Amino acid sequence: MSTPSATREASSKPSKAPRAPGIRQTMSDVHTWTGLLVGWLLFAMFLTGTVSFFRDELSQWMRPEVHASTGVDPADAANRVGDTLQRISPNSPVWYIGLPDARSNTAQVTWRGAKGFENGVFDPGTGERLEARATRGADFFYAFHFQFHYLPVIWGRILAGICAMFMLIAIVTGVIVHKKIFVDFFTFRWGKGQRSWLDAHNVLSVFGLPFYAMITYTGLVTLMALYVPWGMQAQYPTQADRARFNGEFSAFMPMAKPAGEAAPLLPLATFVRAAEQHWQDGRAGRVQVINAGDTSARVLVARRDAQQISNNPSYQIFNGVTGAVLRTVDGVRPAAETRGVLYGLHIGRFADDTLRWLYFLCSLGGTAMVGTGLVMWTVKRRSKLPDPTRPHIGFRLVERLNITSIAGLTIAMTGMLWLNRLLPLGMAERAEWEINGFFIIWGVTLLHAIVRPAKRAWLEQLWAGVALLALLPVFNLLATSRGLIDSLRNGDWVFAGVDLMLLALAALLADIARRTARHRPRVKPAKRTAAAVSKATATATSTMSTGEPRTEA
Amino acid sequence: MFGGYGLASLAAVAATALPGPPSEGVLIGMMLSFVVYTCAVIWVFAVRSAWRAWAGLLIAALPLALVIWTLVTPVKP
Repeated sequence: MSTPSATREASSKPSKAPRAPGIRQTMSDVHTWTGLLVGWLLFAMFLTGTVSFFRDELSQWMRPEVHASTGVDPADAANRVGDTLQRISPNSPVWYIGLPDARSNTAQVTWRGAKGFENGVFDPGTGERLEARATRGADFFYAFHFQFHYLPVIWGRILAGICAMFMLIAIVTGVIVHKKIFVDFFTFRWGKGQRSWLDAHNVLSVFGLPFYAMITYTGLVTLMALYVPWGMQAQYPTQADRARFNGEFSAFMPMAKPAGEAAPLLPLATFVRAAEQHWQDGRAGRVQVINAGDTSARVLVARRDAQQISNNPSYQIFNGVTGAVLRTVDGVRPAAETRGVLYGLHIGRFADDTLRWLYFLCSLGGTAMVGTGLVMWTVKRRSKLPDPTRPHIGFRLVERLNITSIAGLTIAMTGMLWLNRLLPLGMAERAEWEINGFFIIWGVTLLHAIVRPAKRAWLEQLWAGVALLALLPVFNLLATSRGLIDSLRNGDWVFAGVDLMLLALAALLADIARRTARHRPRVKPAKRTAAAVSKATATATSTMSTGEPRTEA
Repeated sequence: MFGGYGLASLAAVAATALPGPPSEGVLIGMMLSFVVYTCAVIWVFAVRSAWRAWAGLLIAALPLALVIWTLVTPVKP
């Protein structure tokens, strides 16, 4: 990494102390450069990750034709889905059934068919497969936030890990830089250009610091076996050993060779009820069946994630034919439990509605922290440029990438939701094209940011985002049977919630855009041409509102 | 950057020598390695010269390497 030399160049800004750079100055440089290098990707990781806290809900919203039965007992649901699977894919070596719960009204099923793995959404009430549009739903945002797209999964995850490590370093150095952390929390210098920017960045950072540190560190922990496998490799030299080690952390049975003798599988409800009996107050969340219809059939029933913070598995494995319990896993050793809790904290599946909103808002604040940090880089440097009207190439690169990654990503994400509604249902590879469309739109915003003057590009993209966000609920109202009015009347909070959220985000973005447009810099006349300075104050003040529950509508 | 990762990896491996079941040591090592990495990066940028930075990393690495050579052995199947 060329960071040390970059650091020297970067410290050209006038420091109050004329002597050699002190630790705070050096840390400030480290903070700036670690933040800038990965800031754009981090912003995208943060924003898509934020959305993922409502992954189940958004996925439902993206399949509006699905009206599944609600309030079905998971055991009955497992039974009915099992019957259907036996009918449609009798010789499948493995089924995975995600049971419905309070946040998901369908059973999500994956099984191995004749042509490889297939998946579908099943109605827990009837057990029948539901016809839904081909979409990956919010799973795309979820997967994107730690492995991106179009990249081999492993490389994407390594890239995400590097970003997260930089983020962790940026957080720690940020705290070191920020000596008067609590005093500054109450300081907000409105309308002061770069000052306001810095204050916004500070307040956002301090406000959510525990959350950001937690989410970054735990994010690294979720994929640590990929990032630092050395200890594992030293202890477990063979692949089989490592598979056994990893098996300790997931409720999963590897596929096994069938015995070749037919034997009927007991109804799945038997196993679900037995496991729930064993847990006393626990509910089943997931069922895995291998070799159904064979004497070697095994059934694994895993407890629901929502019932404990820790993500460590709690499950029972049964003989599928006799119903005998073969294995019970209820807890793990301390270090493994620590890992499970850290992992669980990251994905937040344990959270109830209130806590989930808090996660969402904190995470939105984190997104804004990264965004304000990125824009601050340009604001700070613009006033130091020899000629602010003709900045050098590096500056322009950062400026344009900022526009694309902040305003452009909002457009692309909303655009994908539009594609989810607009693409013809019978289209070939429809789910893939929703995603391709997302990247095409994002690419267009990059081109747009390159060809337009910076301030115009900001404004146009922000307003485009506002329009897309605000019109989507209107489109739902006019063109689908599940518009906002109906869903409010029927108490359909998933659909009403997503639509209201889109409107709230549109309002938020409009506020940012309005302030960006209206603001006239009043600092120094020399800076009058600097669009980003005005942008600074505007967004600084308006990003503040992300920390308030206004988005909750 | 790479020195820090090296040190973090050493720490991750060294932790497997901790008493107790090996899987526990592996996990502790992995979880701590990110903290070690962060500290290493801060150290490298906090000191005046590249020499000192390297020296610091090496001094921290030595005992870890020693532990690994003497104590870490793969689990017997």
